[in-house]
This record gives sequence, C-alpha cells and structure tokens, in this order.
Amino acid sequence: MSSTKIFLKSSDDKTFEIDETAARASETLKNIIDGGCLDGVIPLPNVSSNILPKVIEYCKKHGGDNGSSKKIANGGVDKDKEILPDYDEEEDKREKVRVDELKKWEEEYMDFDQQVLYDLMLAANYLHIKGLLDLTVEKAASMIRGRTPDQIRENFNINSDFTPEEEEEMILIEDEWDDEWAFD
Amino acid sequence: METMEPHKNNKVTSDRISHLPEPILFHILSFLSTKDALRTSFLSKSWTNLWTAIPVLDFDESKFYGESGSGRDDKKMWEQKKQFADLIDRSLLLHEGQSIREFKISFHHLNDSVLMNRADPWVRFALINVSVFHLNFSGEPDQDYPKNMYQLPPCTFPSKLLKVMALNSCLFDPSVHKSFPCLETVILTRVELLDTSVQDLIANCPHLESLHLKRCEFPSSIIIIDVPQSQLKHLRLEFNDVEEYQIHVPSLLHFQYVGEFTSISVRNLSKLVNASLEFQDLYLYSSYGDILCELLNAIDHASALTLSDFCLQVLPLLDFVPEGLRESLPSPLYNLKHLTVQTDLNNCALAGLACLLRSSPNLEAFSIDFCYDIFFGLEICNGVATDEYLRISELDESEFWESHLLLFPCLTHLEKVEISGFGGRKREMGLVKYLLQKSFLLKEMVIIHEKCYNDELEFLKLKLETAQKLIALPRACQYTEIKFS
Repeated sequence: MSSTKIFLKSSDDKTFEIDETAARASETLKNIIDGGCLDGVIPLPNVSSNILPKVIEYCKKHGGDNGSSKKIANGGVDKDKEILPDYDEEEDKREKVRVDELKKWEEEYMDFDQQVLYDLMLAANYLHIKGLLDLTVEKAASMIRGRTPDQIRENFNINSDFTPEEEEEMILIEDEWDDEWAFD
Repeated sequence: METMEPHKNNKVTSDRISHLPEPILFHILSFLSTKDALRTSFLSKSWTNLWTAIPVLDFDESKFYGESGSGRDDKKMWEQKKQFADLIDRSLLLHEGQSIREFKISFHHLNDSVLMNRADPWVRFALINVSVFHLNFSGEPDQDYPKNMYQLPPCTFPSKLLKVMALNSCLFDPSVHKSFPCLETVILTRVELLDTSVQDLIANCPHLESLHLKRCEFPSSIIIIDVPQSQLKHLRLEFNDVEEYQIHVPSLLHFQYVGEFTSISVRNLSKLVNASLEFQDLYLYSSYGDILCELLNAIDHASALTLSDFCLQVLPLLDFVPEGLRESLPSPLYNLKHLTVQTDLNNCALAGLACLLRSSPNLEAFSIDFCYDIFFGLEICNGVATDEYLRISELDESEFWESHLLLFPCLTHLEKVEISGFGGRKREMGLVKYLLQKSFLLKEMVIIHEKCYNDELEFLKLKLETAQKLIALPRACQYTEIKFS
C-alpha cells in the first residue's frame, strides 16, 4: 500500500500526520479521501488535540481491518460450510498470537479516565470508526452492568432530579429489586 | 499521551454521560441485558424512558432472580413471580405503540392460573408489535410437562410484523388465530397441539419457510402434513410423540428427522436437496430394514443425505428371509452426491455402510462423523438374529474392507472425504487405508481429530504419530491431499 501522508487539523488548530491506510479505518476520513477533496489538511472541528493522537493511535493499529479483537477471534472455521476452508496449523497459531496481542494492546490502550472515554466515544462517533466506538461503548456499558442505581450514579456523577415523592417511590421499587433480585 | 491519569482514583466531577448524544446512549443500552437497561430508568429523569428505545426485550425469570431463586419458599416464590409479571406489564405499557424487534419471555413453572391469565396481554402485544417472539414457559430442562399448560389466547388480528416465533411448553391452536402473513420461522418445543394444528399453521402462514417441532404432543399418534400449496422449505421433526407421519409437502428442500424409529411416509418430494434421518432406538426389528429402504427411495431426490448409526445397522436387515443380508438398496440413490454417516463403525453398521456405498453410484463426497457414545445395548427382536448378522458382528473389521475390494462403483469418482472425531483406532485406520487405496480421483481427505479429554501432551504425541502413519499410506491418486485439523 502507498504510504501517502494525510494531515488532520484539530479543533484547536494543531496539525497531526497520519498514513492514508491508517486514516481509512475511519469511514468519514475514507469518504473524504475517496471524494478527492484532499486539499492538504483535513479540518476536524469536533476533535481536540488532546484526543486526536489517541484516535490516530487506534487507526494506526487497525488501518485496513476496522474491527476489534472479538471479530477476528470469531472468524474461525465455519463448521456448517460444506467445504472446509484450507486449514493450516501454522497460520492458525499466528492468528491466535495476533488476536492475543491485539487484546493486550486494547487493554493497555483503554486504560484512561472517564473524560477521555467520552471524548474518544464522541470522536469515534463523529469519525465513524466502528471498532473504536464499540470498544468505548462497551467500556461504558461495563460500568453499568450488574450495579445498583446508586452505584451507577456514583460512577458517573449523575444527580437524581426526581421530586422527593418520586424519589420515595423509586427507593421503594429499588429496595424491592435489591431485596428480591440477586445481583449478578 | 500527555494527561493520562489512572482512572481508579480519579474522581468524576461532572455528569457527562447523561449529556451524550442519544444514538451513543442507545448504543450503550443495546450492550446491556434487559435487566441492566431497565435499571437505568431509576438514575434520573432523563434516563427514565431512555431504555424503552432498545429494540430487544428479554425477560428471563432466572436471570432476574439470580441464584437466590432456588430454595425459596412457596409464598416468597409466588411474590417474586407476581413482581416479575408486574415488571413485564410496566415495560409493555411504556412500549405501547412502539415496535420491538425481539421480545422474549422465559417464565418458569407457570402453572398458577392467576399468573397464567396475566400472560394473555403479553402474547397479544407480541403477536401485533413484534417481529421475533420467544415464549418459554418450561421448567427445568429435564422436567416433565407442567400439569396445567398455558394456552395462547386467540388473536383476531393478523400478526403483520411477526417473522420468527418460538414457543416452549404451552398449548397452541393455530386455527383460532387470524393469520401470520409474514411468519417465516416457527419453532415449537413441548407444545401441545391438535392433530390438524400443523396443517392449520402452514395454511395460516403463507410465507412459512422453516418449521421445527420438538417433543410436541398430539391427541392421536398419526400426524398428516398434507399441504401441496405451501412454501415450506425446511422441516425438522425431533422426538415428537408421534407413531406415524404422512408428509406431502412438495416445496420441501430440507428434511430432518431425529428420534425413535417411526413410520414416515413421504411423497412428491421432488425438490428435496438435503435429508437427514437420525433414528435412535433401543430395539431392532427385522421389518425395519424394508421400511427404511422404502423411505430412502421416497427421498431419493436429495443430493445430500445424513444417516445415524441406527440407520446403518437397520439397513442390512431383510424381512422374511431367514438367512443373508441386504447387499444393496432395491433402487440406487442416483442423485446422492454427499453422504454423511454418524457411526462408531461397529460391524453391523459396516454392513449397512457397504450397502449404501454400493447403492450410491454418483457419490462425490463422503463424511464420517465418529461417535463413540452410541448406545450399545441394542436389543435385537423378532428373530433378527440371523446367523449372518451374528457372524458379521464377530468379524475382524480389517478383514471386512479386504473382502469388499473393488465393489463400490462410487470410488471411481469420489472427490472428497471428511472424517471427524478421528482417534486413530484400528477400524478407523482400516477405512482410511481402504479409501485412499481405492479412490482414484480423491482430491482431498480432511481429518478432524477428536477432542482431547485428558493429557494434552500425550494427545499431541498420538496425533502426530497417527498423522505420520496416515501420510505414509499408499494412495490410488497421486494428487490426494490429506489435511489435518
């Protein structure tokens, strides 16, 4: 593949360099590139210079495949197919190593605070990077899963804006839930 | 990165999640179970109705109660069931007028009439507003039928959105429903039906393509499915309480049967592509051989055929002949291109396999799935134990293949062999050796090893040894490739 360089300008006017192949991990950038409107620099008014390097880091890793480690792991041998795909044990091992390595990379990559999570989520949404959006959304979902409303509120600093009466009713129902339904 | 602090001890100071754009919030909710999504409605006003946008509602009682569900006393259990029903009611109220993609209810041991009555509005809602509907009123997996089964209420409106319906442990009478104009897939498990229900259902669903009946009960033991006008492509019958099937569905492409040996008469299956007969029975009657031959003849349009070990054992049996075994089918399977057998290659199954191979002149692919958990104590009834049948069971399996040299015409154009569950046993090696030696056009042989159950290192060693042995075997076709998996 050609290693044409693309330049991205953040909302606060800082310019970053990225390979074209990596940039194609983003649907939005891909459309701009394919549309031939490459006038040197692509302005990204919704992405700040704090978060853009993080996005570029993801694109570099995923340029071309646009998926998360899960997808690759599931792409194994399809038993229902009448004719099995060519099978190569060496290839399979390499694939496994690649998936493991990618998982480890994702784990390290995703180690950041909540503010970054939101910025990254919004950037992934704006730039249409499906793999990155799924990754960040899954992280947010994992902070909700199996927790009580109080724990979730604390996690995300959500203020309950119910009236005292509503609140009372909520607490009643919540208590019912806590009492009767075991949390995972 | 410049400002990357560890997130654990980082206090969140503002509520940004609530202010994310709706599509992202829906995305987050769609990654949650119905239970977790529901719980977000207690967070704040802006979250109250957010969860109703999720297109999948999955109310599984066991997931909601968690482990504490077991060992509850009756009164408490009843309370919980009532609350669970309340919850479904409330959720549906919020979803009124919205369409939901999937709606699943698993409500176990629903044998209380008060609770049963509450299910009617859920079913009506599902039949009108939902495209995938699962209703499961079963108890534990191995439990008997609940004493009182829930009966689906009649629906006088056509179910215009419904595409997939799966019912488990209830009573269903399709004739009291207006129609299912879009329904494509129906899976009925442990459902009590009327004798005409299957025909009524197919008549009521002009686009029904796939029908799966599993452990269903009928008042009488003979079930007639005579629907010459239907679009049904896939029919799967599995352990139903039926002694005889009469099937006339000319549109059928795939037919699968799993269960006890049963009389199945089919006619006019000229479109059939794929047939699977997985008879599993404890008794072996000499008349079975003829019955199976007749059935094979009736499904002879199929280009792919799967047979169980029991079928192979039944096939060589001749009725009314005191001696001898069936050598080949009365009429060959000219259309058969791909044969799959599930067997442990016991000697009686070998005789059946030989009979099949002899009668499949155009076979191109042959798959063997070795299964060693087959029930051994097959009871031989009605004078089946002919001397020949008993003699064969004492045969040395390697001798068997030697004695059948060059008898199978299909071996001149067999192109692909796939063997799964391979463990390098003597009888397996005998078969592989024979196939490699006699198949002149064999392009590939795929060997899929059985799973490793204990010592992994030993297993790998054994795998390598058998692979070396296999590769050293003489081949009739120099282009034959052996692939391992």
